[in-house]
Amino acid sequence: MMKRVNLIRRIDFAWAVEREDPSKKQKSEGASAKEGTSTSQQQWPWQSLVENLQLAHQELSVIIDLINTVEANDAVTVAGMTRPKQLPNEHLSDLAVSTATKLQCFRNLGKYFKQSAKSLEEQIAREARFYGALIRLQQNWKIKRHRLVAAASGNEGFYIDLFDNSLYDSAAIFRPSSLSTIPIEHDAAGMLAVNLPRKSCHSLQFEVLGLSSASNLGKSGETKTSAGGNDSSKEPGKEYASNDERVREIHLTLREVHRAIHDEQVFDLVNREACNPSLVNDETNGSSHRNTTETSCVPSASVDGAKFGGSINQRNWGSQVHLVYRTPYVHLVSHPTWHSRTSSWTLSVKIPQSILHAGSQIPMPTAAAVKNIRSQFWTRVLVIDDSIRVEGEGAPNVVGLFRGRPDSVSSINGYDCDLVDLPIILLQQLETVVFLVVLCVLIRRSLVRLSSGCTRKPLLLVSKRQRDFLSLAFELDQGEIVRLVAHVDPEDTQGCISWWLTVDDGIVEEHKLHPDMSDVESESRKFLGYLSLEVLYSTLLDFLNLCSC
Amino acid sequence: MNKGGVGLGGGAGGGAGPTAAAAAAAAQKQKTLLQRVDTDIGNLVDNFGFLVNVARVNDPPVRNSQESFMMEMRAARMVQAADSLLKLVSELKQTAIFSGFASLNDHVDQRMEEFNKLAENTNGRLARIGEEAAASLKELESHYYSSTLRTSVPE
Repeated sequence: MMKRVNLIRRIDFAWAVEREDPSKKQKSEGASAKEGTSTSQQQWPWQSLVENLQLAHQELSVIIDLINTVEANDAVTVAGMTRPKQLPNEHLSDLAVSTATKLQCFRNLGKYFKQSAKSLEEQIAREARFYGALIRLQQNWKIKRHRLVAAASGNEGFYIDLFDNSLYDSAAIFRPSSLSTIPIEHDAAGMLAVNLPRKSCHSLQFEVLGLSSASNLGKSGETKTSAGGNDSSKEPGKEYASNDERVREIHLTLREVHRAIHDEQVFDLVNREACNPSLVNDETNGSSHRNTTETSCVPSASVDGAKFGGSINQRNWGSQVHLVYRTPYVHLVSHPTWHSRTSSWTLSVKIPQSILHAGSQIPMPTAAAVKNIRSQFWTRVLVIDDSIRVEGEGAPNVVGLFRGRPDSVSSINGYDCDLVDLPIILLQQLETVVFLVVLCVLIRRSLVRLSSGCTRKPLLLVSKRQRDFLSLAFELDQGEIVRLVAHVDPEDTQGCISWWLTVDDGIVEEHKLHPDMSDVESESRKFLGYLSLEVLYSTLLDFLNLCSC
Repeated sequence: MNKGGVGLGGGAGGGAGPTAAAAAAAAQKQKTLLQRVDTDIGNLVDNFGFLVNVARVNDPPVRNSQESFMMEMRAARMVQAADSLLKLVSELKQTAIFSGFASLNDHVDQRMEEFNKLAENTNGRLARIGEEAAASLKELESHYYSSTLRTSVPE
């Protein structure tokens, strides 16, 4: 206890005393300070700080000890504490200070509220623009959302799905393009931006082999190599463009991407077609390729039907064009049907007027009937999906011809056939018509001659029709049979219908009539050539004249 | 992919058949959202009331500074409540985009109309082109077959 009292006595209030005599001290301090500074410059510059801290530490420890002692109530006790009564102005100033503090606090709060209100308003405006644009996009495009991507990245995971399934068959390879999904992001201004993948080039242009002119089957879009964000940084004015314009631009971009995807799909389809030439005909190779590509470019759901119809049509076309080209009296009239799976043509045979007029110079009661012979006979071909229907005039009613009633002239045959048979059937129809019309005119002529008194006439035996030839046989006096044979051959390069004249004994079998072995001319067979109708008519007339009289 | 939809009408009541679960979920979702809205607005009101109550100036300045800290805290809470309300609004907008079936159907109908009109126009044009082409074809064919190219036999 004595130690503590001693310690208390040692409290040094010298500093208070010193403060009361500042003038005395300053002089002496000034003298010593200079000396002190000159020496302390060589010492550590923080020395004064350290000394001050040590002094403070000492004083603090003294005061703490004093407080402890007072607290313990050992040697020193507090006699009493009084606060002097505050003067009213002190009271008021205290009140003023606390009011001012409170006011300050409120002002700070007010600033804080205003700031947050502004930022919230900005956020509202930004979101309103974003969602407005998104809703407008949604009117035309499919918008979807990735939950997981939203959790991962800072964006909200919206994207536009441009995948189009309509051109794919179920068996086709399922390969969505890399452009199928386009992410929607917030750009620098917080507005909606569509980010195209970098270096996307959207032009397709290719030629089809075998054609002289390039056919641009792919449309070309613009080449875009930068994402939307770059544009906005280059043109800061764009940020202030109206929302409508931005949305319109985005629509354009999306449309271009969609078109590029569609072109890609079409290109794939065309490539597949070209590599699997299952629908290509041998004869018309170049045009068929173009036909199949053209038909397969129809972006419709019924692409299968179009392809198949196209191939059938094109094969028909090939055969018919040959027929028409090679036979001089056949005309082809096409009837365009605006249905991709149906097509129809008419082959018509026109009898030259010279033949008809020759018969009309007869002064007979049936002369008037001659004028009623129609000069055109038709065969109609109708292709619907994969069935072919051929309709044509059959045997003209000979009796009706003579009686001069034009309405009962001919009956109409119609039948369905296969593709393989089509050329043959067409040629057969032609043959029937040609043959029988010429026959009618001839018979009329011979009747005329009969009526004018000529006795001998060739006896018409039979007209046979086989698969690829027709024959008209006449019997002569000596029992010989002269045949006029027409051979139809669609692959013949010079003409489809060739005429042969054969003479034989009448016991010939049918297979010998077949001109397979028959490019050979013998004594019994003579090749007449590819006759036009006038030549045929005059040949027959001469022949009959020869035979009869 | 789409967010669950909030029923456009009132509560589900008795949703029959296979949509019972969906209707119940929708009602639940709607209740949750309403609860959130109520919480947030309650927060705002309470905190503002406290701010106003505490505006009185006290004598010992200690209480003043204590109150100032509390006031700052309440203000922060108010701003947070406002923010969560805004988030709610954007959630609702997203829901409207993905599950607002009435408007989606309207959009689809509109597009269908437009496309149908376009298709009709195109068909009309194609038909006209076809007719013109057929007429020209007939004319050309007749010219061809009566021309000198065909009157001599092409052997």
